[in-house]
Amino acid sequence: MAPDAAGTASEARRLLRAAEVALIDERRLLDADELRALATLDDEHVPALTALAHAVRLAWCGPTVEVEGILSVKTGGCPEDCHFCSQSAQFSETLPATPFLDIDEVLSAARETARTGASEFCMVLAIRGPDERTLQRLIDLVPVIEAETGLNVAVSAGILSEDQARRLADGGVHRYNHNLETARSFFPQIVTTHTWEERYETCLLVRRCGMELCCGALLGMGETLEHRVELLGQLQELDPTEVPLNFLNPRPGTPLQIRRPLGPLEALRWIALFRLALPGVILRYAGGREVTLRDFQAMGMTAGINALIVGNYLTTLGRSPDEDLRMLEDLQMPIGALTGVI
Amino acid sequence: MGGAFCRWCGALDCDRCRQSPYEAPRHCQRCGRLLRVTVHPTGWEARCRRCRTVTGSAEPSGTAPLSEGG
Ligand code: SF4
Ligand SMILES: [Zn+2]
Ligand SMILES: [Zn+2]
Repeated sequence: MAPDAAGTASEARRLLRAAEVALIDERRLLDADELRALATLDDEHVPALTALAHAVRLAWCGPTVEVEGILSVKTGGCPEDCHFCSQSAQFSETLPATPFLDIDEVLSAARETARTGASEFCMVLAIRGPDERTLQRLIDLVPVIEAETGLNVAVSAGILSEDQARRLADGGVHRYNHNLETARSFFPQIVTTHTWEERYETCLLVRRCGMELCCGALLGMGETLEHRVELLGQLQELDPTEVPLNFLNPRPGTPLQIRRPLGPLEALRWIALFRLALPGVILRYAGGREVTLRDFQAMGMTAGINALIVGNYLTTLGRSPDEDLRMLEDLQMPIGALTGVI
Repeated sequence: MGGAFCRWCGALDCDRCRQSPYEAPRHCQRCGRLLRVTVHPTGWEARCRRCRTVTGSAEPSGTAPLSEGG
């Protein structure tokens, strides 16, 4: 082996060992420099990185996997211009707007979710933020779904005012989803109709009002390694209960349709880095995993993931819940509800 | 004519779209019009307002056979 390659290998082992001591022995978070160093390890070290992430997940969160079903209760016609989204009304050829689903459709989707063994059901709306009628409909639906299915109910309805956040919390919403998607410094290249700061503010409100915060990321939009490390720091600051990790599945008609999905090895590297940056978080497999990871999907479960969205997504399809449930059984990972580790 | 409209791009007799099992159809195969699609956790339905047809699947993956009703 060439001396410089040996040097790289021993440096990699040193970095991984230092991260292990920090996260498992000292139980402290990694900083941006430590994360950047791990992010730049050669591809040959990705298996060691994922093995460490799996050990950290088990040490901080245990073996349980949380399963969730999601439903787009109001699809398309969104006034915002998130460049990855097929539900924006700002681009040509995106999805036609459909009205709020009726209660029977929502309940039937919640029952389907419960039958998969899931503990969480999230209603998602393609809106900037809820108007009074929408908010009231959501508040009316939450106790009905809970009583019918026993599921925890989550909501994703965009930017909230303090009063709206409080009413959702009082109405029994268990977890509220609002994604940062990407780093503050990259966000203006992806969205121009609202700011990263507006998103951040809603995330803070959600926590202040007593709901669990679910705040996700979307990788593969053209962001750099530095942007991803920046986002990890911002998520560490925000300290959400859950981080759903999405991979861009380029949508026809959107400005990001020209991008290619991340490669599976890169996706695994970043799953591991999310776990190493956020050791106690519920790290959920979300949209795009099928097209990004293909045959590597089980490997994500041993690289730091401890939750998944089962079945279909909002407007695209997922693999069969039976396949995911079999994967969890084969991995001997029990299914159950999780809550963030403090 | 006699051809079918592409379920993905809506063009007549399209031979360029590759069917992904992870996409619900977007266009009606009979008339090419945009469908109103509802995706739920374990299936999907697509309605064409012009043809008054409903297609769908009770399986998440789009490779499952389509059922069709009026
Ligand atoms: S706010 Fe949500 S639904 Fe609207 S364009 Fe952005 S991501 Fe899509
Ligand atoms: Zn086509
Ligand atoms: Zn038709």
